[in-house]
Amino acid sequence: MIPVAFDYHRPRTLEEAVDILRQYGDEAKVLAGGHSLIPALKLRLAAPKVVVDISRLPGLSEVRRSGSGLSIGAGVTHHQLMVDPLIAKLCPLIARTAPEIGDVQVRNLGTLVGSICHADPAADWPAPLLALEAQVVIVGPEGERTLHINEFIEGMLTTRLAGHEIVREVVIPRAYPASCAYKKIRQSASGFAIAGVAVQLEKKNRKCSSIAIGVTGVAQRAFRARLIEKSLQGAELDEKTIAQAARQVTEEVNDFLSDLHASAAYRAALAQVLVQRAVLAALAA
Amino acid sequence: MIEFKGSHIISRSRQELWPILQDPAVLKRCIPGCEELVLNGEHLYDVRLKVGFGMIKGSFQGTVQLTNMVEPERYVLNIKAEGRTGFAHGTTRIQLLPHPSPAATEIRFESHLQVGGMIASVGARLCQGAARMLAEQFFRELEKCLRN
Amino acid sequence: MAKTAGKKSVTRTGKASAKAPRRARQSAAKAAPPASQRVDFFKLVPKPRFVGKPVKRKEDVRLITGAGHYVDDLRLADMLHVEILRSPHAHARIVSMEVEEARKASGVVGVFAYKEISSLCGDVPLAHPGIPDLKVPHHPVLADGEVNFVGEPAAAVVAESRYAARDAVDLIRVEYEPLPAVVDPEKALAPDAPKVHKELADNLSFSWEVKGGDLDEAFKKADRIIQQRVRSQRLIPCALETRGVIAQYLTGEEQLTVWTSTQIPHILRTQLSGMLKLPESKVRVVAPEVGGGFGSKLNVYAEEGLLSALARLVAPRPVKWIETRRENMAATTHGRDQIGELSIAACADGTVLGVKHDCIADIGAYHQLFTAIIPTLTGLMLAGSYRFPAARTTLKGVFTNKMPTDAYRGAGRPEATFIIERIMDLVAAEFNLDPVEVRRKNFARKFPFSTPTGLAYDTGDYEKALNQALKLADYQGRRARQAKARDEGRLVGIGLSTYVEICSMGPSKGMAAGGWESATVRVSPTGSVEVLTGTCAHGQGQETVFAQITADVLGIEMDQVKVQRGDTGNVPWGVGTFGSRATAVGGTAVFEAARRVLEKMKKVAAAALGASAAQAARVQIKNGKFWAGKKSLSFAEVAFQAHRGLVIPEGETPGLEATYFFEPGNFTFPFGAHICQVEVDRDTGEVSIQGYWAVDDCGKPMNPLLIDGQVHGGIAQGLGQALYEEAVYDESGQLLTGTLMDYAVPKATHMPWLHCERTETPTDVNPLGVKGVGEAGTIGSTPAIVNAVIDALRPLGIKHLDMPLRPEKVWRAIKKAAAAP
Repeated sequence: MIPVAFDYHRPRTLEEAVDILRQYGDEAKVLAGGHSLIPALKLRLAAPKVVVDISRLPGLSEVRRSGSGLSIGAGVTHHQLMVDPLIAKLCPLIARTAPEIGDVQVRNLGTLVGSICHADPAADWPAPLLALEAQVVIVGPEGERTLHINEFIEGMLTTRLAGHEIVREVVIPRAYPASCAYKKIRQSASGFAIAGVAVQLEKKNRKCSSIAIGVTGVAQRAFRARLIEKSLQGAELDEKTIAQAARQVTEEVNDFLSDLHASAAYRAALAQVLVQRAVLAALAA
Repeated sequence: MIEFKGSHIISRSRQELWPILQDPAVLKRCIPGCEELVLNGEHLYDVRLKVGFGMIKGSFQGTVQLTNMVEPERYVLNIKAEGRTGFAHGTTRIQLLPHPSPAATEIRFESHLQVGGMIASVGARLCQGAARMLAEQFFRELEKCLRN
Repeated sequence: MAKTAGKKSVTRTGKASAKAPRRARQSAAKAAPPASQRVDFFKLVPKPRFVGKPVKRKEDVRLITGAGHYVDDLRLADMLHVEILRSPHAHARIVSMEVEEARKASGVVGVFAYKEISSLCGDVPLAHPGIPDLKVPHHPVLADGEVNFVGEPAAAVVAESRYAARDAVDLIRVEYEPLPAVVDPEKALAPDAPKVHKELADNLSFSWEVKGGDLDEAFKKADRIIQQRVRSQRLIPCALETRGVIAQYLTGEEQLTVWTSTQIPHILRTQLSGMLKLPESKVRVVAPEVGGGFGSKLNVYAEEGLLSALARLVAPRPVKWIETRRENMAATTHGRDQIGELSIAACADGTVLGVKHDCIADIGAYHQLFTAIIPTLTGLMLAGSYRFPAARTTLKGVFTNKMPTDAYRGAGRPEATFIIERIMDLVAAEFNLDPVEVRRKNFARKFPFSTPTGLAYDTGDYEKALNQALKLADYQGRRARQAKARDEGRLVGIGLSTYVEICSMGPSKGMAAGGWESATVRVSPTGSVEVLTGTCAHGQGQETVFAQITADVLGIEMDQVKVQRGDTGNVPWGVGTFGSRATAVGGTAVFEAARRVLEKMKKVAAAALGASAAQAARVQIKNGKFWAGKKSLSFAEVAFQAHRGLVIPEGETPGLEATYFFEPGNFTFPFGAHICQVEVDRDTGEVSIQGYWAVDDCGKPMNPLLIDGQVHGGIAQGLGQALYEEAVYDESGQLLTGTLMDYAVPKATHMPWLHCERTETPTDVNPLGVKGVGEAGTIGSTPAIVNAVIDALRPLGIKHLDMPLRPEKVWRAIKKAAAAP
């Protein structure tokens, strides 16, 4: 890697990290797993004056109980989320999404928090995190604040995180049942989602008592498929009902993304297919 | 080649809006990341830009030129910007259309953007979205300018 | 040697007529020594201990543990670093270049553009393909006022560190005047198209034709004429190790040494000597470990000339340049990129009578070493494994504002095999026949076999490989299950290819440079054995195979043999590793040299043991000892005696080494049958491979483990072309697939389980009976996979789709078919 020269800091505490960021603001960049930052540094698309490495900060690489839900620290890797027993028990949707990310090397080093901070529109995590109503806990010189994942990610590569702030953890506010699924179509080069759909639902008798659908990869930012959710809420989930509801995905978004890997029309079709498949898989889970 | 179009309703009449859109101070404020804008000929400006999306940032130098001007209906905005990470050459056809409410104008734009170098070869999939976001930023800033 | 031993001359001139380059048309040649007189390996060593066994690779321990040394691992004292400013434009005039700021930057030794370099280094060379009226543009190592593709070198910075050099590149200001770029090769041929090179009349670099047989007759007799357009898309070779060069010029010694990641150190040495106007004696080229090439390092690159010239400017300090992956994707040769218009004359029983193939090859902006030659190989191999009597290829090589194309694993033959294997399936579909039967109907069966394009295939048994593959895959059962799946509405497809390809390149008559290979086997006074080979392995495992051959011939252990390659200061001479030639040609040279050493050792042993004439004639090696009558000497003792010089037999000289240059009499033509089953997801267009079976025949197997490795890797690359890979340039000539985030090389998770077997049909072109296997997997797999996908889509009426068969393309075809009345 031949990046533009930068100063490297490895603070011992989160407070120290925040203090460094306070000094440098936008000139600094936080390094956790490095799977977004390092490629950008290498290509000189990012040229921060200071890199603050938080990957070894104590306490950040843990999955913990938090109230009735759980908390995922900024240093937690995708692989940890695949194998963590607490995740499997309290939030199986996370455990099912993790193996779909990148490849072995990416999962061993990359982090969930790093991924959402980079806010690539093709990233996987926003889909399940939207479906799970995740909260993003941010610390900065002025203290702590919490944003819903939907507010946190503003758009392509942009979030509400200020230059002097750090995301400490992502909190899943409650435990969720096993009726969930994440389905994606991978871009064959990067493994990112051309389209990805996460579904978390709850059934009472044969009816769907609640359903949350997060969609990623197809638009500037991930979104909740509210129209589809509304159609399925309280309905009996048979294939026909699901297929009919899934058609509304084209009304959820104004502009489907179009690039060299997939046209807008194809992404729209995939979103529809994946909604169906994810709902069915969640039902069967 | 990135092509995109859109429209915005601005709460000013066409006659009011026309000079505002040529005002260097307004342009400097509204062009995303514009750090410097200096008149260097008829409707021709030298510009220095710093454009960024998250951690991806690039500095560019170039020109902005307004051509084919038909007051107060339409003009063409030509942008040429080059930097270490690549270049962008674009033309945007801008139309000012009368709006049913007399104190408003519909601005329609149609952009053709040629991106080259590093940003094309590593960021092709993001360029379309980036261009859209920049256009949105422009209009957001324009509305802010008009409010003040 | 089993089957074909003792038969005489293997080759025959086909009846081809053409303005074709004579060198490219294989022809009768004198095998040296003639097959009837030569000693075959398996006669000399009837029970080899190593050859034919799955011996583990000698090179793996150091490579797997990271202990090998590639160019980037070499750090010389006082080394300077080079970074290159490259064009961001596909076509532009350089109006001005300001380098002062860069020159003044900290750590910078110098900034160099064309005018500083041109007197020291000439144009990038090409191997003359023997095509008349070939247009060759000026191709400087740094742009001379104009850039013609994205990534073309425009200036170089030399600095104390790589960081300083890279920082300084950002300080160079170039004013470009963009010129219209031409990207589509068909549009490039239009009379009003922008010209890539203003000094040339148009964008047509060359026209070429090869034909044989009576085409008019074939097309008159045909029941039907099938037309199809096929495309072999542009690919990026993506060797794991990018290119890299270190150059040092010692002024006092007048010696230039160039360490570079190349497949052809000796050819490079000759070419560099020409570019730099230095006699070859003053140029040494070293290829350290080379981390893959796939043909992309079978070249002479601008950077190799540039670094050599820079080394002279900053002498005696060495200069180093290591290619980034981005540079590798933009500015190392690309592969394939051909469009073919096919007309096929076919009979209702599946017999193919003739094929016309009009091909446009997009060669990019310049000629690299073999740019023009590669697509001619497509024309020559058009007959495939079939005996249709008439064929014609017309070829137009067209300049565009893109990276030049050149050899890429298979180099011209995958394109031909793709065409001919698609043809077999198109004919099968047209007449509703089983593609297996169409192939059987058309197979060549008598060998040597002369093709209408002028080749003479050495040996083959295509039906045997096919039958074995059908059995391995349970083809009949599979077809029955496919029918059931189709009834359920599933899109299941089975595809096959029965390929043949050209290997062991080759006879010198058939090559742009020499087609021979050299080897030296040298035994030290203590009995350690060095093999110096002119081949230059970059992943193939020749170190292992050559040690197997040498150890078997000399009756020693493999670890007593050290194989050296890649250094022109060490290896007498060589051609290199490409075209699946290293074992068949280079291995034969090793065998012949080892055999000569053995003969001498027998004589030395007899002399040292004071053997009688009768005993001397029957010296044998047993248990590592040379026996004459009842007395014996160890291998090391004989070696010592040869060097000691006291008992040198009559007519011999002291010392113990032999050098042999092997000139093969013909190419070899390995073949095989690949079968693939896929299922297509109707809703998303995704293709999943459900099974893959391959039976390959590369002649006598030298090391089954290495063959499997080559076949597996080859299939992976063929699968990449079939389903994923494509170098995409936009209409202005920007390379959009500039990193591995957007260019999809297949990964482990993309690979199906491979069921591989072999048949053995030895060649008589060389005394090992070996044909070559480096490219077979790539050549065989692409059409098998594509044929399987098209077969899956057949119920929808889809007859052909262009590669890569990415999900959206398949999805669109399904949608379109569903919408059709």
